[in-house]
Amino acid sequence: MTLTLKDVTKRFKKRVAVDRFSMEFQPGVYGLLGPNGAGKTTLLRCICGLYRLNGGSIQGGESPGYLPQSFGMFRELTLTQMMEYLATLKGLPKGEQEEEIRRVLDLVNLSDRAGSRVKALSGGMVRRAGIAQALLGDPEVLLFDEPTAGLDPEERVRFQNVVAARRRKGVTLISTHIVGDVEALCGTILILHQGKLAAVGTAQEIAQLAQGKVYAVPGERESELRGSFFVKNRSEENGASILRVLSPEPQPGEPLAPTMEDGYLCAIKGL
Amino acid sequence: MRHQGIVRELALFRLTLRKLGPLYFVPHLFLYGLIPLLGAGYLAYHGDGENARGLIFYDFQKFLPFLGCWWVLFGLSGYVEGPASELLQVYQPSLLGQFWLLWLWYLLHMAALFLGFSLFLENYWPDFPLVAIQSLAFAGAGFFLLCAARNLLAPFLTALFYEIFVMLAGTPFLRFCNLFSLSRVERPAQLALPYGPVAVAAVLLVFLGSRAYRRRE
Repeated sequence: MTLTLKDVTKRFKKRVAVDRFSMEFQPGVYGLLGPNGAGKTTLLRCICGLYRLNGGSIQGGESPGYLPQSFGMFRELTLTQMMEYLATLKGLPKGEQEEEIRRVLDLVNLSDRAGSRVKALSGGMVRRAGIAQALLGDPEVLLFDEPTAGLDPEERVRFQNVVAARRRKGVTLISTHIVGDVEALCGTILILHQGKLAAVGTAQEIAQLAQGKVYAVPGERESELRGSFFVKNRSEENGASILRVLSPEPQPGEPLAPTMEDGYLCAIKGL
Repeated sequence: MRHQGIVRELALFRLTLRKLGPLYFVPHLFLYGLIPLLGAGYLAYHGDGENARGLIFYDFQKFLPFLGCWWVLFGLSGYVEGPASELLQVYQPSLLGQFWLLWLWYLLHMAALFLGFSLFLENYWPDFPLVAIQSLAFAGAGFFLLCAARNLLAPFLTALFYEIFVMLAGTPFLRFCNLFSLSRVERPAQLALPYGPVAVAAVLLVFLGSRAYRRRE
């Protein structure tokens, strides 16, 4: 199955949140990266049908599994009751619900909390429950908005394994700030900036955007930096300060091999 | 496919009622607790006469219409506000089916109350359509405000203020929108005005509410 977005545009009054976004998604895992306000959440909501498009069209993506950025549940219900409610909403036959709920809770390591009230669950557990409900019914399209926010490292790895296991089953689109998740999971990475698709490619292709643009500049030579540049971070090596600098122009430092994060920063900063 | 849709709506309806928890039983307390208790009190005080039966009729109007919006508002509020609302709006693009199921379930409960009074006291069934229309008006207006305002407080406070200042207090300058009837229903034709247009307006509000819920930014 494919999910096809053609010139998708979404405006809020005068602000264009998504600007003529086009992409054909084949089965696989896609990462959606971008700074705050880039349009990632808006794009996912357009695919879900939560927003009316101002232009373009979306084909495929009916009945997706969806985890919103801000997710909560009915606090007085138990986890199983909440999952049953969502399974019914998603149209799962009653006879199949019990087994399916058990399956997805097992995937996110919440089987032992099935009888707990939602209000007794921690934030991370609620987030995992959110991942579980998105997986109910094994939908062809899965949309995750910041799925690993609030998860500990072990649970993030578990999430990565769950997503990796259904790589060929359908389209999975993950919007996240965590570059590590995207690198580990996503075959294709889309970088959104100011509503537009700034770059698309594999992790290696995104890293290549910063090829020849990454320098390790000694701290004492910071004043010699010229032209347009971006100081990504400062670190200490053997007591000396080192700046990791991104710049399209030669800088007074040692050239470095680019990472995917470097390529992402070059894409959004126009370097 | 249509059959599956109906089964799904019924299953969802059952779960929505379960989700209410103790709030589910509030209408029951009034319908099968307070109203019969008040009725017994009127009969004990006034004797089995016109006064007592008239006061019982007034009590029907005081409590039953307002409670018509209870299950609708509290059962469906999670779809328009709160932490689960965004997800629920994706999975449930229309609330029309749930509204009618919730209101009809309330109608059945009212019918049970009327059956009880009619068996033990006198035939109140001619008044049933009046109270049904009044409860539909509360439910429909409440549902519309819930979906348009996207919060529970607006419709609940509106219903409460209307109940207190119009239905109960009979505030003079609000008489124009007072649904309260001072006389019992003797002939169905009595309901034609103003309750016929009220019923039509209530149904219209339900569909407008559904449109407001489905409206996307």
